[in-house]
Amino acid sequence: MTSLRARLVLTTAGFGALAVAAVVLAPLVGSTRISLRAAFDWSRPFNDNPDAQIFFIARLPRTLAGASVGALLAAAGVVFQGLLRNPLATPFTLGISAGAALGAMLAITFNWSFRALGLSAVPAAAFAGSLLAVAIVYGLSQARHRGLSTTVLLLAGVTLNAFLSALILFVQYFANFADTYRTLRWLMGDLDVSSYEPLIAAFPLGLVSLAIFAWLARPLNLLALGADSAESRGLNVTGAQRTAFLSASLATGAAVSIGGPIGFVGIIIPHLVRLIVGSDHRLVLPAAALFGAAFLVGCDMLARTLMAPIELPVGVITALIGGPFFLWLLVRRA
Amino acid sequence: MLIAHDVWFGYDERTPVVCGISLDVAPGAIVGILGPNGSGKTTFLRLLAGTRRPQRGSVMLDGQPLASRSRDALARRIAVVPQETQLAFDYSVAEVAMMGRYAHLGAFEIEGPDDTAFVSAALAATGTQQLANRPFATLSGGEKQRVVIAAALAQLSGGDDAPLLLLDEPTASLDIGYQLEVVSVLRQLHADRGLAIVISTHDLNLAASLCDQLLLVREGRVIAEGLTETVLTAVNIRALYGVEAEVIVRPSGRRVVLPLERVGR
Repeated sequence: MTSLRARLVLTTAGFGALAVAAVVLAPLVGSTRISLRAAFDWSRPFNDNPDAQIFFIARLPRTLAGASVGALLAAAGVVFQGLLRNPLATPFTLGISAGAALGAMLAITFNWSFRALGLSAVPAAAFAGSLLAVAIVYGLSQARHRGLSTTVLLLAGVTLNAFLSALILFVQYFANFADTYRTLRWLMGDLDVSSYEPLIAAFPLGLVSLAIFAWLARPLNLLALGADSAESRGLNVTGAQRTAFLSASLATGAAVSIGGPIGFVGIIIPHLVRLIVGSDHRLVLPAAALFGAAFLVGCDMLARTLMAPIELPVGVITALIGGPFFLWLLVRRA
Repeated sequence: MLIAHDVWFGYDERTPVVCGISLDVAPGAIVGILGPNGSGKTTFLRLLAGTRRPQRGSVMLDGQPLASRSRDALARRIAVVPQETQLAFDYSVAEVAMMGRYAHLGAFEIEGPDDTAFVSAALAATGTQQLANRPFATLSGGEKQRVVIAAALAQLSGGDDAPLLLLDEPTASLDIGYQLEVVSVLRQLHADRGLAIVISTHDLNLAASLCDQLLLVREGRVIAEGLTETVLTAVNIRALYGVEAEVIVRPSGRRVVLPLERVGR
């Protein structure tokens, strides 16, 4: 049995190299060929330098957005699966994405134009919507129980998902064509951020969530034994569950406000990572974050090049890869 | 050492599950808790472990209420073996046993050589060291239960004071071969490490052979308690389960219970 420390170094180095490779490669790939030398030629004014413009305004923020969203969704997926003791849970199971979608849809349909937290209206409203969904589900899970009931959490989340989706369809039924189209595009999940603003706004939240995830690794291992056993091993179960739910929800909310509800990253990546590094969350969490970043940046490369010059929404690519994979996983487990 | 005094508890206010049970566990004692399904055994064990707090009465460890200790400190003294352990993910046997060390480590601390040594010793003591790298989910029921006992031992290792092991019907889902295996592991641990053991069970013969003290609980109340040879009688078994039984005393002094028929209390 190799020591955990050695396995942690190996895992981080391996998946880290993959993430770095994806992030370095992605800005170079696209429908237009660009010259790196020209892009980094500081002697030319930026406004006169199309290579630099494509690199720094179109591709680099998009790549960084892919890496952040991929890392947050994959790690949040791991935490939700550990919290709900269910390997089929995703970051969107508990209604957070539906809340965000409702917010984004309202901002699009009613043409809101406010700015908050350095964000424009759509991502800001999406984030507010995700917080609303989190608050509702959390409130319900606390209402009738000492501590936090994961069963109520799951049922409330699934129901809220359906309810909010119906609400979105209700408003869409009366909306005009253009707004419905924009809402639909948002729901597909897209990393075309075209600026660093949403990244800078989401950065502190993402960083705090990832730091909390690091602390959660051992508690999540114990929760896998069941709440009573975890408690008798010395874990404050309710505290750990609350921390897991809130931090993973914030990470999901931040990711969704940047890229929309990009599906399957939060479930495929944790599963693949467990197949490779085992189930110890101290390995699974960093590996999933790094692999998630590499995976989503890679999918976005495909999205931008498969049908170039048409750019597909990355959520379509992850779903096309993720759907069949998920089905295979279900059959394999049974 | 561990003293429960007139303990009351209910999951909702109107229906108490534990109604004024008292118990004194001395260092190194083996106490059996017997009672029909739903008599409050599991809940009482949770109260003893400190994972639930009594609504009335008190549970004291070395003269101090359990609630006055941190969860960590409590976990280093008292370990619990549940009836069954279902893992949400695939962990190896070594990883499951290592989870016993949780209360001994800081928030971001990684297990050191001491922890590895305690876990190896615990696996050896329960005869599961050759399973260390197997996935826990692939083990038989008896093997699983021995590994969970190993995790409990690892949890109690390296503490300063007399440790306590609480087991909740640990043999309920095992065949007689595995039942005897678990019992012999417990007896060995008691002899080698001076563990105090509190075990709830439906197996009267297991209780008769392992425990020196019994607590008979029905509907949350104690109907008899004391030394095994005085408490384990046909009269008490009838009062407890409504079952006519013959209690046979073998030449070794050990009692064997032969249930005959259901007669009502």
